[in-house]
Amino acid sequence: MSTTKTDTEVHSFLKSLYKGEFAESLVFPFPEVPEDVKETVTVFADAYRDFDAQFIDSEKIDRDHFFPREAIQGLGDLGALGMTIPEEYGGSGFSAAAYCKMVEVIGPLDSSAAIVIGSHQSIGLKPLLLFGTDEQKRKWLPDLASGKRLAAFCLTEPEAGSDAASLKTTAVYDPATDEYVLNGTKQWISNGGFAKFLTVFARIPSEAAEKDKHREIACFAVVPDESGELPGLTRGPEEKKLGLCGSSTCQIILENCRVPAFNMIGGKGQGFRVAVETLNTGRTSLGAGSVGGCKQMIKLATEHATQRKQFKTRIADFELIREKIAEMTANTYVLESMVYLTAGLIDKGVPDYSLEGACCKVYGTELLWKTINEALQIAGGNGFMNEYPYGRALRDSRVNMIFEGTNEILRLYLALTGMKEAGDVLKGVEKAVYSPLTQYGVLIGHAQKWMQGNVPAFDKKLQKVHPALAPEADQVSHYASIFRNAVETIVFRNGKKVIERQYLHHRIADTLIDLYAQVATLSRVTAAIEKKGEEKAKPEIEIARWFCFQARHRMVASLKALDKNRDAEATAISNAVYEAGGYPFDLWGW
Amino acid sequence: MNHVVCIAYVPDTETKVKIGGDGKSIDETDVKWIVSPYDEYALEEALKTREAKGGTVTVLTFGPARADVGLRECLARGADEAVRIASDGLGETDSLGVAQLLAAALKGMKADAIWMGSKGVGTDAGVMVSMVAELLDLPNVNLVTKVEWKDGAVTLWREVEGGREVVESPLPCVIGAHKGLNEPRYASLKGIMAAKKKVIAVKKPADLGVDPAGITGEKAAVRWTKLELPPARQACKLIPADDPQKAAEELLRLLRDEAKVL
Repeated sequence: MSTTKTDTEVHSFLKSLYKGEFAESLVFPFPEVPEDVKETVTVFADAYRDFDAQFIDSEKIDRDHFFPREAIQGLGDLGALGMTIPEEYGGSGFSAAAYCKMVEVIGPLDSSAAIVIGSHQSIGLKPLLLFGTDEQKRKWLPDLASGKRLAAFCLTEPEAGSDAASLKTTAVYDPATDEYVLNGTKQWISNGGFAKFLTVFARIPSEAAEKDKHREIACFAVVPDESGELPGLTRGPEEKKLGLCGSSTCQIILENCRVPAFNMIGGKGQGFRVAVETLNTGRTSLGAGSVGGCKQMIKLATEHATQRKQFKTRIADFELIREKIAEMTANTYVLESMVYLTAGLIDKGVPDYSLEGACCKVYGTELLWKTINEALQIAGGNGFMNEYPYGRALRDSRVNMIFEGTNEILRLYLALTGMKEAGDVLKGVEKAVYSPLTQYGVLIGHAQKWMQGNVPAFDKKLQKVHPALAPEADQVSHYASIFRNAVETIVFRNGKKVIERQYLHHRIADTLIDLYAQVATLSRVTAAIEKKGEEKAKPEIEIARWFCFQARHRMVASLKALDKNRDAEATAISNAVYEAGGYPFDLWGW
Repeated sequence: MNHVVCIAYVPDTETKVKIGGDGKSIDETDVKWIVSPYDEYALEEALKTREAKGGTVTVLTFGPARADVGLRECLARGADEAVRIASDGLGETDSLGVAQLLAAALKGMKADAIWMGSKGVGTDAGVMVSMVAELLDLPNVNLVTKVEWKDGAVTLWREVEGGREVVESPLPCVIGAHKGLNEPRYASLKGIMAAKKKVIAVKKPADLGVDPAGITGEKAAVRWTKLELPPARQACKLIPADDPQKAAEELLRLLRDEAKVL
């Protein structure tokens, strides 16, 4: 990999964009997966499909609200629970790209299995993997890799959802036994019913000032015995859910639950960072799962559209259907490009991909929802019938937009982080993302700097895009520049109030996602042209043109609305509704 | 006990077969290749026996470089070693030619039990078990659905018309595995990773003392002269049933005059 001065300084492509740079060598050439990795994943995917066909009956799991325990052991024996764990600790040491590809396969086959596998290794055991000591890893990872122990990530509480830093579970040190005593309730814990390795986030009470309260949080490995029992640990009843019915979701109740001090992961005061980093690294794979789901829907929609005839014409030939198929397919291509570009960044060792991962999660989960909805629409009346897979797919995919950071919180994160990067003055913004309403540092200083012309102008252009896509590359460069200046302007105009301007955050985040989506697509199509030649890469060039055209309209709309909008009206309308306690405008005055 | 399992890497049974340009071979583009399902039973039984009684399992195949993927899959399921007799540049041979190559390789491998599927799903000739056994002067038992080991011998249950036959054979012998013998295991990810690190031994026919000229071209006793796909099925004909009486008459007429089955 060639490194320029810029790229050794810049550790994140999107953060660099906010700073007025294109760290182009991070995203060009499009990452290629080595052949031997492809072969391994291909063979394993085949084995997984066979396993699924034989042992996982998705309809029954959905109906019974139960994922068979033998199937969990089977997943362990197969190696599906140790994919991301290094070989030296008993796993298979998959790269991010290899793991994403498997998630893509697993998700559409059975989403409850995907949740069992994902909650285990995308988040449950991730704190140990990222922050554990070698001794801790040796102690627990082998059992986690084999499936002898399943992991669960325990952050959310009844009163602490998006605002995770406000969690109330406490951990009090007992010097007599060198243990921490945990008390509190964790809510909606995936794998909660049968996990035997729980990463629990708890507060070690201190006299810290309110703004430093998140520094009290620590992460603990709570490790029951082999039958799942531990004094002081109770599992609540299984929640009744809209979807993912086979996965286990319940409360974890800790009452004077004693945990050896050895089990603290990442050290005192590091818990919040452990949680945030864990979630940041796990998000890309949610995008990958969405890629798999979208591909499945495109297949179903294509089968139906090419077979179904109305007015003596196959419906596939109607432009209203073509429009849907083209949109589903092009957007899925774009998502696939984003996910595997991000996976490539991770595999390259780029230290910060939190914004890119958040883009994959937000774009991917919303695209999957839309794509299932369109496939259902193409299926017509059949789509509404439960014997077809659309209903369950909708139910199962809905929570994607809620968990691992709601898409709203992630949009704030994308925008606020950018403002921090742009100005480098909004201190503690990572915390702001999880307690976005708390007051933070003053931005005026930066605004003054901007006024004095001390902020470098953004005049960089994408250089490495193939000439066949020059207009698209110019467009991205142009709007990246406008975007960056717009963010500066907002910071200047709003001062410290900018952290409350969520109407604006929404537009900034959406534009950032569109910029990343276009860059990822242009990078991938450039690689395709270089590999196959322009003629053979034509369908992909068409996708890039189609998508960049759509993205331009969205970007223009969002950027214009940063300046001219009806946000004041939105506030007024919502105020009227809140006062009335619901819809206040009934035509008959009811 | 040492086991050698002979496998064939064949087109997936779900592959849509296309005839090649020469009219006597299969067009291999877009073909997905798999280990022949009957060979999977053979491998599974060898692995189970090794797990119970110790020893080694070696897989052996004859084929081009792509067959290494099949061998690696067997290694991933637990085989210890893999050997490929390279077919690259050899020219067309027949079952007897393949049997000669396998037998030549097996001579140097000191196997207590030689396994293969009762037939390969590629050509379905079903002759390899007897040919290899004959060339090695060993007993053979085909269509085996149950195995019991004794000291220096093996009891085998084989499917016969309307019943089962129980035979005992001394070792070494050649065993043809049949459907029902066992449920083949999946390759685990650990196995796949371990298999990646193993080296597949590749041997040329000459290394085994077989002269390629003696088993190819005019020397091949069986040659493919022509391949044909079954005729395409005709579109379904729907008779409007507004008037049942007339519809029945029309059906009868079609069956008699067009389909000529009455």
